[in-house]
Amino acid sequence: MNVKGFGIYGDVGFKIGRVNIDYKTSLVDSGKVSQADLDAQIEKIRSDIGGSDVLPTVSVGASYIF
Amino acid sequence: MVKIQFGVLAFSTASQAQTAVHACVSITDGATIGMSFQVRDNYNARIEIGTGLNHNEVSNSSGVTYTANYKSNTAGAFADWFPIAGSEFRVVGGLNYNESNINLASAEGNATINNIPVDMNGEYLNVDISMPNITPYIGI
Repeated sequence: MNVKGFGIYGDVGFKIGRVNIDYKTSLVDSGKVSQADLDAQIEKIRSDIGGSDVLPTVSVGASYIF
Repeated sequence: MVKIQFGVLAFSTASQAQTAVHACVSITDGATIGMSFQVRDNYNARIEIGTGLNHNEVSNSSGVTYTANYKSNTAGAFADWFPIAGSEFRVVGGLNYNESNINLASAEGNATINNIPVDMNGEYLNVDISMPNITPYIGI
């Protein structure tokens, strides 16, 4: 273990935090979409991106040990 | 994003005895470089910075066509714990600073919003999706 020199590096884990979603639209003021339908649409977007409070990460690369 | 569970597999030659530097590619943070230092027999301290994800594409999300801009810059400070003497297995805890967001700008044309057909000509629906600036990190 602990061999000096080059090696491979890997890390698997997750960041913890709720994704924030903000929006601006003209659709409600123009009457084309109700606020309720827009809220439902935003929840669909949240679901599309996972709807979760964790963001998985995977990193692979090289290391050099001194 | 998907939910994941803890696992027990890890590989790293940046283990618990020396100072090490590393460069890697992350699916979420782009290109990352970092350095780790031994602070006790079974503990390393590690710092990283990552950048590189910044691109635009046209995509469709939930019935609306958007021009999407993806951007990610991160920095992190971590503690690596090697619970098994002589093993490369480690458990990681730390904090990330994130400037990671996705900006969606609606395109003109026809869209479907909550199953309702909508003419987007002359209208806009711009959505900003972002991670919190500070996020705890758990990994292996």
